[in-house]
Amino acid sequence: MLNVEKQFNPTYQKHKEWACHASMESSVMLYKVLDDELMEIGLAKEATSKVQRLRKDTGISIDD
Amino acid sequence: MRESNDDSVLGRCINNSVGRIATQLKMPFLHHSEFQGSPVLIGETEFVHPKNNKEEVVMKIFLASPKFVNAKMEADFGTHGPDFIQNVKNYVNNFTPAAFEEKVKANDGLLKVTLDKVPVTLKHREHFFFNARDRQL
Repeated sequence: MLNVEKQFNPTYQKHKEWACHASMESSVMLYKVLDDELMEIGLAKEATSKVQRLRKDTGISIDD
Repeated sequence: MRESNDDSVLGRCINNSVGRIATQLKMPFLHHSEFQGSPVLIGETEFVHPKNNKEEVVMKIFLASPKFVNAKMEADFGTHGPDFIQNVKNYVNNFTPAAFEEKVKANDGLLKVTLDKVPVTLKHREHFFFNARDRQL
């Protein structure tokens, strides 16, 4: 029996700036480097989830 | 409402993302400089920069309360003494938010009262908003 596997080129698999994964159905390659804009989006999301958690903990709804 | 050092990386980042955060929260996300009166505090939380623990932002949730247009209040009622405007605000803040909104809407957007023998007419969207969200509409 012949097993066929799809893989990214090792250059990309070991690359510090890219994350990649492949299967027979699909292949994904993700650029991992955070620039200022991504950092800002990430921090804003963290801040948002902090407030959401506080809202949940205190039991208030948006209409209050 | 949020309190942070606006010169810090985190403070600048949060200030730049206010629109995005408010959209996700579905509620106003105000800077502490926009704080008015003494609304009921629901709770508060701190967010520390994950890569710099010297930077933090404190976020507080308050019950919605009327927001005044201070310039218009000063222009219309500033001649009646230093405490008069505060007395007007205190009168408004004595209502529950729901009762206040109901009273104003029943009177075509006006609130009329006589304080210290001075007749006062406050107009919705000129002298006050029902809350911060109302102001942003």
